[in-house]
Amino acid sequence: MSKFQDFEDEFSAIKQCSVKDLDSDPFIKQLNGQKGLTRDRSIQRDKERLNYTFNIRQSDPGLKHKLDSLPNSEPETHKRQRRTSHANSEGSENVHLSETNDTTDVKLEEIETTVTLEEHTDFPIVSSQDRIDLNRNTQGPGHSVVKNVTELSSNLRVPKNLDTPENVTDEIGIALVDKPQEKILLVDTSENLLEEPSLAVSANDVTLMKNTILLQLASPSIPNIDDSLLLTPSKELRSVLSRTVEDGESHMVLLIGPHGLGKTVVINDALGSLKAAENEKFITIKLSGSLQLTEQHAVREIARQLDAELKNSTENSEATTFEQRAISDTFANILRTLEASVDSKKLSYGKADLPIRVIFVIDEVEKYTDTPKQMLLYNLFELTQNPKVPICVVGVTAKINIRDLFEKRVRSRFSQRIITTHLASTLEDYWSNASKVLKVDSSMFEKFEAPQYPRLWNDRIEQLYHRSTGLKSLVFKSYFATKSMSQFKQASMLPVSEITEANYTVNADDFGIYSRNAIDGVEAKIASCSLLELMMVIAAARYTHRSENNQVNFNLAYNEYVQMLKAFNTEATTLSVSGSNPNASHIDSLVLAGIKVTRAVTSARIMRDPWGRLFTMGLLFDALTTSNEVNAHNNLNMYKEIVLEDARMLQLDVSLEEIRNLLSGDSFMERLTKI
Amino acid sequence: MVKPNPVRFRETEYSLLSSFIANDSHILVPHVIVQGYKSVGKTFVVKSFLDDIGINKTIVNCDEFLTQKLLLQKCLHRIKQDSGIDLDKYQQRFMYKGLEASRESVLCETFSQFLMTLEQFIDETNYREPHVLVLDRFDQCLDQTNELFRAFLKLREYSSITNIIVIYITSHEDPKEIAPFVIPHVHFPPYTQESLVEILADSRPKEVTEGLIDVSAWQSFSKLVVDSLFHYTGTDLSLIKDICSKSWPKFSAQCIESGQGNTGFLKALRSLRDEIFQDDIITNSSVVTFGGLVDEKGSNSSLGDLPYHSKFILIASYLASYTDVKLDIQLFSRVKTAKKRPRKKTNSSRADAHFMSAAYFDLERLKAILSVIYRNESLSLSRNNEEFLNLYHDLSEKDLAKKEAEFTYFTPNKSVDVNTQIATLLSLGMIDRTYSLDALSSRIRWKCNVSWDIISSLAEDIRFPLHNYMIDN
Repeated sequence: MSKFQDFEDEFSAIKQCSVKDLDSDPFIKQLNGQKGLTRDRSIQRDKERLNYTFNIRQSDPGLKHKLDSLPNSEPETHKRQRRTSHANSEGSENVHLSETNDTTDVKLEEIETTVTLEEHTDFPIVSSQDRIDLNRNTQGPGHSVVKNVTELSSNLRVPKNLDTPENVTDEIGIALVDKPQEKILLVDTSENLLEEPSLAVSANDVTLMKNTILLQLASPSIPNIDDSLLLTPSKELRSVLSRTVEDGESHMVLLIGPHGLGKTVVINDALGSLKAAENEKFITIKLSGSLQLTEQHAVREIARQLDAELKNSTENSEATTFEQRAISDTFANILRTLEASVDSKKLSYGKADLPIRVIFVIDEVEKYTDTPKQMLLYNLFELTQNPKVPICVVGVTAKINIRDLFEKRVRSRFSQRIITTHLASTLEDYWSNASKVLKVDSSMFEKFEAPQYPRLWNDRIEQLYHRSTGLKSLVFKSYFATKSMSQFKQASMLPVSEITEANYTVNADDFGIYSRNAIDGVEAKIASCSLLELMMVIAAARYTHRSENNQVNFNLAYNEYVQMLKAFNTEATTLSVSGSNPNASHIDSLVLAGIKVTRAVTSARIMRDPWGRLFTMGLLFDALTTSNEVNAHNNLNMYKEIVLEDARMLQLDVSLEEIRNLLSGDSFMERLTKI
Repeated sequence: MVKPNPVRFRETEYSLLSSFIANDSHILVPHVIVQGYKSVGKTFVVKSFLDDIGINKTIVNCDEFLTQKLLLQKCLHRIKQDSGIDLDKYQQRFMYKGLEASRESVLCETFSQFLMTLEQFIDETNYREPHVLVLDRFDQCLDQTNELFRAFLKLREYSSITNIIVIYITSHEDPKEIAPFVIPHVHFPPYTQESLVEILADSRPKEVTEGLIDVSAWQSFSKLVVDSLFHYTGTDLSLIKDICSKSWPKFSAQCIESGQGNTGFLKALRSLRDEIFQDDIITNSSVVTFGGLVDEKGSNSSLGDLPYHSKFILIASYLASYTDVKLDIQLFSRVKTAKKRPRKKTNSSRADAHFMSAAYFDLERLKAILSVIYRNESLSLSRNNEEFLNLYHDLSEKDLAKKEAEFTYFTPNKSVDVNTQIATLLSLGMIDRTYSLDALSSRIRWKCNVSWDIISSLAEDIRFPLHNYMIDN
């Protein structure tokens, strides 16, 4: 079942779009047909963008504009493509191509290079073993460095598919983004890296590098928050909190944003900076909907945290009769204490004239909207209306409709202040955020014995991203699938942890290992099934496919299994004569004609075990009913070793079509999945 | 990086683990989920990995705990023990609901209490060494752990603890509660058949290590077992090991008897093939389900000794369970027209109905059906009626009519014995009922608990025309 493990091609559609593919695409063709009437530039631009990947866009906007306005840029690429393919067919013939377009200031210099393709490339747009033209594009003055490239590249061993037009333009992208002197470095390092790197890196450096990067990857925080997507929300939140802490105002705010984006990071950052300032004393109370499942627990937790805080600050441990009581039923107790803190407890603090500020951070606020009265939220929000008690309530949630969940009295007390965090909206944004955790911050540079090592590391990362490497496909994958940063971080940990003295930069291919390892869901379940289990799955799927209700029990599935194998066995003789394998020789089929290959039908006694195991695995589960009580009870059984009665109705997690797709390649199984 | 002890066929998973966890408190991923269906070496790899890097560790088998509270208490207790901190010197004072608790048993009612206590312990002892908590079989706890899972994932977020890593070993999908969290996963794909053979060949039994039997004999034996049972076991290592250990003693004894070498092996194989490689070895190796109460067709001799009336009661209960109430008048009423119905020959669709689970019925319905079928079909009442009446030649017409009426209205229900027999059948598990605290509740409903196979053989036994009372759809 190796096919489950290979997700390499998942985004091939994005990467592999060559001009040829685009032109053969019916949609584009249709649009090209219309182009005669209205010259649809945006489409053309889209095509270009696909063609050039995003590097052009990343380069200076002026050039992008120029390229976009370039009327013949499209045909030009065509030509190049055609010529390249021409060169392929002609073998070792050199093709010279030189075009200069005065109107756009873009000089197209042509450099002849001998490209040795080392291995089969991942994205074979042009596959060639021969000489291929390498077009280098550069713009304006100050970019004369490229001239040297002729010499450099004469013995440049292009690592992988640099011969594709896509990669040629990648180079342009880098060349245009970087400042000239950096470009020299870049060319240098690229050569350095492609040849055996000459830089001697000490063991200490490697360990330091590994630890630095792994720390960045492992921690949820973002190295440089002011430079990331979280800048705006974190600024807003800081201002709100500081107004509570410094000016003694009451506030409430909702922080809304998708999971795993850094809402908690923003809050911790804001609280941390306030703590660091230490102008005013304040208490933070953190609640979480998944830790304190009910309001009662939440109240108790507030009491506990207040207790702990006050104990810490007052230092006189005589205070035993604080908030906590043996019974949790009185929220009033806490409220009284909070308000009482205005009068009595304030004396315990440095600033005697001001009451203490309390910041409530409530993660997963939506959990506390379940009860009809929403007592906790109501009281907290009500407190913020009280000018005597300066508190700030920060609600954190991933639900964007959280306001609708508030009960009307709660909603009317809500200040309507909402801060949202957003996912990266473009790939560039995503990469610029993601690359930060893979790179060494410039402030760290001097800690290394060889200062050029971190610099080389950073360049290498950037470079890997601009080539068609594992890193690039990882970035694409995580951007287009989830935009989740954590996923990217997790996948990057393996390559970073594998670096050694001898091989002190990351191995790009390692970036794919983590995601290749991650097989989940029905695929993984089916993959781990034994043959008999699969048979039962297929039998059950066949039954549910035919019957109108989607439930099945052991009796029905076993009956189906017996019938299925009977039918298969009667067919088996005829099939072997006709020769299911077209390559089989005549003699083979003659020999096989007399042999009947049948499958044994296993007895019901034995089949009960696979059936039970399917239930334990979760491929079969208790039928869903309309009664919540029954469903909840059934959920308890999930994944447990329980005794399944033969007549127990169960539901199957997979349909016949799915099974067929998952088992494609196994002709026997595939035949069984056809009714 | 040199892997000290590469675990065979699990190199990728091992290196993934090592990328997430290192014996260095700075770079710790807070959570790792190790996932893989069935027994594919998850716990083994995790254990040997943790041994290799020499990190402090606590392994808790979650499925051993009845409640969440006990589990959390155990975790806490074990972490404290495994931390290497001298517990004699450090005495933790527990706060419970604002009061100092004297007993540990009140702790960990909720996860936040657990967290609080753990945090307190770590703070007060200044325990900073990395420590791995392995929650083995976390998804198989007796309590539902989905919420707990979510809470565990917040461990770092809501405490000052930085040195605890939690490894969750699960053999199922992630529950949906934790789906929004992106947690590092290490998936364990199934073994291939070849690697299964190799692993099995390496785990040598005592006879081989002692030199009584050739290594090659064990190797071929294990290969033989895998080959013959792979379709059943799949890549479930523990299942196949179990089966191996079941059949090995017999085989090894034979092997020793017939001598060393290939010939000995073949000899042993030939003499034991029928005994070892058959279905029994499978069915005996795993839990015998209670479905085996009455095993298979033909083997229901245990029911043969039921009293005659019990058989009727059982059949009546089956009919009550598997026929529709709406059809009762048609099937069981005294209207003669309804009784003689042609038998339908649609076997397959009728089979469908019998495969379904039994419906519940009221006890009154069972008794009503019982009296009908008993009157109609029992030997003493229906068959021998004529002969019986012949005995009373000299009776008057009136008496005859009276007798006749007696027969027609006869029901066994009036006998105390019927209730006893129903109770007996219930205790034998052949009839089932809903349970209610109120023993006399009228809401108690009953159902038949035996399958079609058994009922049809019972009916054959007492020559009961079962088809007359069932309508095939």
